[in-house]
Amino acid sequence: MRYFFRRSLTIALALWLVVTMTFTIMHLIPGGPFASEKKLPDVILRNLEQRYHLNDPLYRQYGDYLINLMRGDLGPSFKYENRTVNSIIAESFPVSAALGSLAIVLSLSAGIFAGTIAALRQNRWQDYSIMALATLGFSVPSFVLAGLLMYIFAYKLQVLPSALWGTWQQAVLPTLALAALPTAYIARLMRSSMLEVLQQDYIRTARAKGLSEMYIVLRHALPNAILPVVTYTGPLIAAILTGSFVVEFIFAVPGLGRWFVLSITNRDYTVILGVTVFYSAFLMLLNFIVDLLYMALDPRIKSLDLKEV
Amino acid sequence: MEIRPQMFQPLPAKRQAEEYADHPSYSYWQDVQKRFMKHKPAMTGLIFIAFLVIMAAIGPCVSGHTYYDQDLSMVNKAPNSAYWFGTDALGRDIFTRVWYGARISLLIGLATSVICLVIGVFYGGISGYLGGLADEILMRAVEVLSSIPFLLYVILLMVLFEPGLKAVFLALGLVYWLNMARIVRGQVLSLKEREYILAARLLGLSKWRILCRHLLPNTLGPIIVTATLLVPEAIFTEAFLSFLGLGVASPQASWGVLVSEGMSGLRNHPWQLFFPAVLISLTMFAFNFVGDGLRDAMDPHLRQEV
Repeated sequence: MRYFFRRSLTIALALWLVVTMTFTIMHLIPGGPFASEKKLPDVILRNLEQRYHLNDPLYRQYGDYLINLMRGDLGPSFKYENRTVNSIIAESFPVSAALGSLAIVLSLSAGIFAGTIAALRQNRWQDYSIMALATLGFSVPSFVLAGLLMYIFAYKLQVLPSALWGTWQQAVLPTLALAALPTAYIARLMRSSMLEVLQQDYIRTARAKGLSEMYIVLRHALPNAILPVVTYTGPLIAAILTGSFVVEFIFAVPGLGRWFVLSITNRDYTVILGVTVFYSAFLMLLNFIVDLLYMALDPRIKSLDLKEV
Repeated sequence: MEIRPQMFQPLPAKRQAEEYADHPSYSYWQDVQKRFMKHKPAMTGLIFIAFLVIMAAIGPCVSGHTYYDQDLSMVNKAPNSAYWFGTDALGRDIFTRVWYGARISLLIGLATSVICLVIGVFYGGISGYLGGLADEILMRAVEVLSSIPFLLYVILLMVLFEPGLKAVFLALGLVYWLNMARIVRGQVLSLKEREYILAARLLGLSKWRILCRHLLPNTLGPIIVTATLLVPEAIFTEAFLSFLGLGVASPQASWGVLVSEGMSGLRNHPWQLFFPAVLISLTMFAFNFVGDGLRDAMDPHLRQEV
């Protein structure tokens, strides 16, 4: 419980830090949001600034932003009239979430399966080929993989569409590109923890009882070997999320990642600010849930503080 | 029992020889070196990195083209005898640009690693050695900072700074030192209870001297490993940023810029993507292998399969 309390406090503090830092950074950037366009008449510029409260003193803007944030209002977009950051997130986040969940499911299932096989067939060809593949997946950046997949399947073989979102064919390539790196990592993690578990005494006991190998692996080894993978879930989600910036951009998937990248190029302050805050809060919350889950799963760990030392 | 003077004769020289070890003794670092040399993937990685460094040094000069010269009559040419890796959409020589990109990317990797090394080692070292309240405050700060999704921060910092090399160093350095600080702190924390530190304190050495002369040198192993593994991560992140248009400014070219440029011409000119992509991937391979090899060589007990 003490842990729960302290973590909540850390998260609240971190979130406040995120908002403040993002706000400061956004307002330090040279050239206002309307600077990049062709020169506007002074009157219009002043009107625009009036409308978005840009000529209020900074502390007022900051205060307003914080208050609106508490109400869950992330403000309007500067670039697209009549659109709010909330509406952008509401519209595009489901797409990102769908793509992200597909990638997470794929990387977890493929990674755990491949890692287990590699551990069971240690130092045989299955192990070597899986580990070679995993090393490959570990070393090839996602944008390179995305380009490669696109070139092979969309341009050369022409079996899958290269862009957009909606049908299942359109989901295949982005999901693969997004899932490759975490799959490789999970496979390596799973292999090493499985190898360790298989050497434990209780596995020998299970063998001595005459249980089938299949049963031993599924019932006795897997639930214990899977724990490191559970801890990796937090970083996994973060990796998928940041990967989605590039992958959604390349495959023109209309998700939040693509919006984020576009709003950076457009210097659309409130969108950058809003999406960053949203992503940060989302990730921290998920990490928190994962930690609690982990403590519930593994009674040997009463508090994750122990791991720091 | 009768005691005779013969019992007190020295043993013949032959018996003494048996007590000598039959091979020379090695220092810790010689041992590390031996184990590292035996680690085949790590040695392959090291050789590749050496090759990369040499090519980064001489590569941009050997083809007779410069990385920024545009030749609009030679746009999008496939690899040929004049342009070994072909040309890009502005008629620039990709061979030259790739090796020039290697300079930038390697520089970013190394510089980030060094920056994090300096910040992380001192922050972690001080936190671990002082302990108590100072440690609590310093580590809480690290905890709060590291719960922020760091890539978002790098992106924001890059939006803020003028694009360019300095911005990349700063943004990556500001973000990546956290892990290093944690590792160093953990090491220092476990080392500072050792007897030799007690001895040093009894001799009246200052805290600073104990930290710098006695604690930090002994944490060198994990520090070197972490720093090595940071290099590919920094290169990777920079490539990622450049890909989003936030990294090094044109006409300078890192591998990320080259990949990003290659991506736009992918359908018709795949070689523009191929060369930088292969180089990035091989470099990641090499540094990861070297890092793994170093970890195994320095700490055979902590050998991990991952």
